[in-house]
Amino acid sequence: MRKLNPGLLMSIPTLLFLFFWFFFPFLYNIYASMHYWTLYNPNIQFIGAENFIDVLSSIDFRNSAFASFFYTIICFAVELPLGLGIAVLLSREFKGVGIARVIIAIPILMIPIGTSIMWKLLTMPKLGLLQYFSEVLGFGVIDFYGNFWLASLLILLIDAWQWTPFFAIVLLAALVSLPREPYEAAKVDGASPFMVFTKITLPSIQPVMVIVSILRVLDLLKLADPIFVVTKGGSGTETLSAYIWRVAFKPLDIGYGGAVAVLYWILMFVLANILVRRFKSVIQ
Amino acid sequence: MRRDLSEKSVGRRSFLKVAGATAGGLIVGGVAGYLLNPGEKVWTTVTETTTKTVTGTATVSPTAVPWEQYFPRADRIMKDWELKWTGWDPTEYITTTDWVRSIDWGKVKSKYAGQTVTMACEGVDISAPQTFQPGFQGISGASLQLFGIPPETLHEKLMAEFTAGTGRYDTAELFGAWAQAYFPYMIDIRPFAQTYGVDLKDIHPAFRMMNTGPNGELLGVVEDADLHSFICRKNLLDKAGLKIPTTWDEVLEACEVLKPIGAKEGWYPWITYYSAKGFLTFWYWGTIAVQFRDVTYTRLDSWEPNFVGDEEGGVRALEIHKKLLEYSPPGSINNTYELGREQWLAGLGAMATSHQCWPRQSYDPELSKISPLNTDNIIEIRPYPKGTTNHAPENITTTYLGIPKTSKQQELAFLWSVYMNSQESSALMGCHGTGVESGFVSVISNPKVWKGQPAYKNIWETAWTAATETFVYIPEAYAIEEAAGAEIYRYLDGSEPSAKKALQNAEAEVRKILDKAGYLKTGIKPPPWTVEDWCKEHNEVNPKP
Amino acid sequence: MAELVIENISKKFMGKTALDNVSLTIHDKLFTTIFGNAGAGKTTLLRIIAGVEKPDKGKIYLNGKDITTFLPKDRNVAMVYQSFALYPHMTVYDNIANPLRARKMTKSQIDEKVNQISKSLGIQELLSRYPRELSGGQAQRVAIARSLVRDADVYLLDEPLTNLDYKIREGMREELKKMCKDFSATLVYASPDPLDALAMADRVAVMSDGKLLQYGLTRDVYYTPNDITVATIFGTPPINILKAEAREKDGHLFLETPLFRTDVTKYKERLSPNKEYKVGVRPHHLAISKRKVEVEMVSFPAEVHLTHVVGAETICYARSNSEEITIHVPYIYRMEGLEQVYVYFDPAHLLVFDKDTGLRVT
Repeated sequence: MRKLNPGLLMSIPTLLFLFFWFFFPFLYNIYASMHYWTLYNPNIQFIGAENFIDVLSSIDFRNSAFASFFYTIICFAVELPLGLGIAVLLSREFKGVGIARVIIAIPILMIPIGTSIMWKLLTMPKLGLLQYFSEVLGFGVIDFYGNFWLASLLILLIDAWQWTPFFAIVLLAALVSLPREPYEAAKVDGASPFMVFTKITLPSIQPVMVIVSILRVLDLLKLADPIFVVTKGGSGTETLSAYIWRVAFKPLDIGYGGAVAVLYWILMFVLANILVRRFKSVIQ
Repeated sequence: MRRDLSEKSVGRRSFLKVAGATAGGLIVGGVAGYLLNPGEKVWTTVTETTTKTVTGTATVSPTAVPWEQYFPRADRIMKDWELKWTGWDPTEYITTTDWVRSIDWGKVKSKYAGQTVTMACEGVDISAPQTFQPGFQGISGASLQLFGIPPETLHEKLMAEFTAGTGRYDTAELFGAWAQAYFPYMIDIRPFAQTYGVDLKDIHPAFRMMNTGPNGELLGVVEDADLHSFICRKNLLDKAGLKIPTTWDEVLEACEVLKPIGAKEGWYPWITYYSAKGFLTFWYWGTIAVQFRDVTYTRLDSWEPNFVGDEEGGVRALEIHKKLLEYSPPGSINNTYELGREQWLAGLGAMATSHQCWPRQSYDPELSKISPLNTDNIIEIRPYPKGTTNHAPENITTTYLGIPKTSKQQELAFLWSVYMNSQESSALMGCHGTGVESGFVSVISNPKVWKGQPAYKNIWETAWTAATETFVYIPEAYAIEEAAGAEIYRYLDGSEPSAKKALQNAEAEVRKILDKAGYLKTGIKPPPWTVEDWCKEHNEVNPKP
Repeated sequence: MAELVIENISKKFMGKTALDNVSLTIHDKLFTTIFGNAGAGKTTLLRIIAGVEKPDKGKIYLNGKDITTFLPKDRNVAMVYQSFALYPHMTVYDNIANPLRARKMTKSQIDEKVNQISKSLGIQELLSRYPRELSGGQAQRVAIARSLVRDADVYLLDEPLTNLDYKIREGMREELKKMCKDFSATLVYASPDPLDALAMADRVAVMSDGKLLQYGLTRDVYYTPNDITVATIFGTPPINILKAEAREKDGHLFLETPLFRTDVTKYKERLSPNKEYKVGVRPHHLAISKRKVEVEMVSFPAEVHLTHVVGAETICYARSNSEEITIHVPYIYRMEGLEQVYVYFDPAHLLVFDKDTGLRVT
């Protein structure tokens, strides 16, 4: 009897798990996407690419793809520099820095939907605290829920409030683990603080920054919680994840929903590959 | 309306607390609790306290019927202020008939003592069924398990359980508009009703029509019977020298007059019930569109959708919908039921259309800033504003308690659904402001009940003219409402400048779904959509005041 | 001309004294070693000179100018770190060029300077490599090149050889000494190793617990330490210390130790009879013989119980009358079992310290 490779033997549970919870549903979803298939209707018809054609010609799909990228870009553009700034501030030694580092981590620990609800309470017309200050300062009641730009601002605020600390904490960890001497050496060598930051600090934490950015970008492309809470997907704020939820799960249309999911997967796959390839050398 | 249950009596108070405290921890804790659904634990505590109350009061009024102590009664449910407000004699029943009182519970107990029945409830807060849980357990000797499911996922969850045939729930709350999707998995409850002498015809046809099958089979007991009314704060209208509007034109005129006054005093002329993209848009527009019924959106000849209307009544309704948003608090275009209710109870509006719960909850001094019991507010409840002809409010959001075919406790489940939704208990739920409303003719026509739920008078007077979407009779209802709503929404948010074009796009989307599902080919005529027509077709009496 | 004057510098870290009122003058074009054990305050002193640490008290003058409040970049000092402190993401060339770029020199100037310095340090082949591709010795050369590439008034070297292995360290000592001459640079070199100072330094400052104990020409400090602490720490293997008592007999003054007795009449004015002292004699001032020979030296018998051969030399550990003695002999000495020997030394090399103050008396 041939001996089983122990490596293979130990991988079997994982492989089984992956098969049943990843590969099989994935392939099943592709199969579903080529059918007219609603859960309450026993008649399942093969319709080829019709679902895909419908999805691609749908305004909502294009709008939600735009919204997903839009929020990814603005949230990332705010969160990374802000997180880096906070990380640099917190990497210095000052009184109470320990407490500050703990406080800054609190938003990450909160449930995303809870964060969104908290911000919604703060921005309710006439009832929320932010609206109160807005009126006191003479800006009147702000349409945070119905206007695309203002709703997007609120969504950005929610996401930045919750996830900027993620950048801050990870980059802080990278910063404090850097050796002190190269900084001093650079200072003694006559480099300005700006030069020290751009020429030494940034390149030193670049690998960490790239990895955390890729994670965050892929996460942002899945943004859904604040959208459900703030607009329920209205006023042009619907993202791809929210769109899939609306067209797949509520009408139980797993054919059409499957098609959107497949397109979404392709999009994510391509993007993730581009990002990883582009920054491969940096990470290594 | 049923969706209301999750917030009900504690809603407003806890909201104010949360809004006042900016501490993140409080909210985290609250939300975590909400999401984690503590279920069993909370359930146990509540049961214990309620049981004590019931036992305590039972000793006060012993009666000849050994089970009387378990019957729902005002003094066991209502708060002190409610009893005072209504002026009821707390030891008397408020309804004349109650099918629970005619069932032989002794027999039931000997048959089912020690057995278990399960129920899937909408909402994580399941306190409405919990109110009646100890009574039912006492009266039947059986034990009842309640499973709260968040409203956002209830539909998918139930469909998954039913299609998979798990038999996990013996009874489940089914949303009226989408009830037909559940139909193949539910039993007809009429045989049980006959066995126990339960008169299901006491349920108003307006609320029964949507869950009745082609051969008269009944999907479940009506649990929450919703119908729109027009509500206003008469004191604000009086101050502006306005009469209570009866038509949509008058509503818009009144809004125009009220707008500058409200701007000064910190309120808005109108509160939007719900409008968010998707089926909520479709519903809100639909309730207005149905007032232009000669050109109705739901008149389907051989399933051809006609949203624009022969005389463009649908277009007019959509324009009104958009206009109303201008008179509502900013952001109302994406309003959900919950947000609209908060705004109304916080006194942010002068007028609104809503289900029965808003006017009733307006009176609750703990929930409402505009309670007439605390302020000089006057709440008026009137029929839905008219369009071109006579009006007919919508009844799409009625909820049923259905019994799946896979249930192994069908009879016990039926008894529970009857107990929980008897005339007396449903009257008490309505009058207690839970948002669960009665659909019994004997209840809504009872002037004694009107003292506890003032909206019922209006409901009783208008229910005979009610209508429903044709789509609620097919499983694709949700998909249709969602798709049509998304198209109509484009006019509201301005991405489609023409109301007519938006409605035509919606027609095209709906046609696509109907075509895919095969309705356009079969040639089957759609079922009637007004209560009047439905009653004629089913040989039923349409109860009129 | 570079003269660095350190005046009454004190520094505390979280209440712990790192430097206590240190004053010294670093002379132009000399190789000065700050010597002391770990925690003596050497690194802190260098960091204060460089300007990356602020003194609590005191002043620093460079060429007569008060630079105490100057930022590091305005002081024109260069520093080399024990950990090399190279920038890991830059090539060797960029590392060396960085200080020049910070001073906004032109590309051709930078190129010339980098090539020149790397040639003289023998690292031309390494210019395109990254620090992670260098050996310890190479990395240290690059670090030194990075500081020498600048025309600094003072070059500060903080234990630059500590992280290198023994052999490379030997070689680098030679080179550093040579470099100091070739570049006519003013070097301040912190080290915990007396050999560094002895091998390279023109002048040495001995520090302990934040205090400057002695500062002067290296040989002066070595042969005439101010006190018993300097004598003990500056020198390897450590000096032998014995208890002693002065006794007067027949007009002569003797020092009596457990091991020997020696006539110290010529120091009569400085020593008091019947008083306890401590005497020290450096291990390489001791000689051993297996047979007793008659010479004009102090001698006593001892038993060698351990030998340690270093290169061509031997350190012998011996015991005599319960006292441990270290002897450094300039040849390879192999022992077979315990060996009875006689130890000799010239009494002129004997250092006598006050028992209580530790100060050198003779």
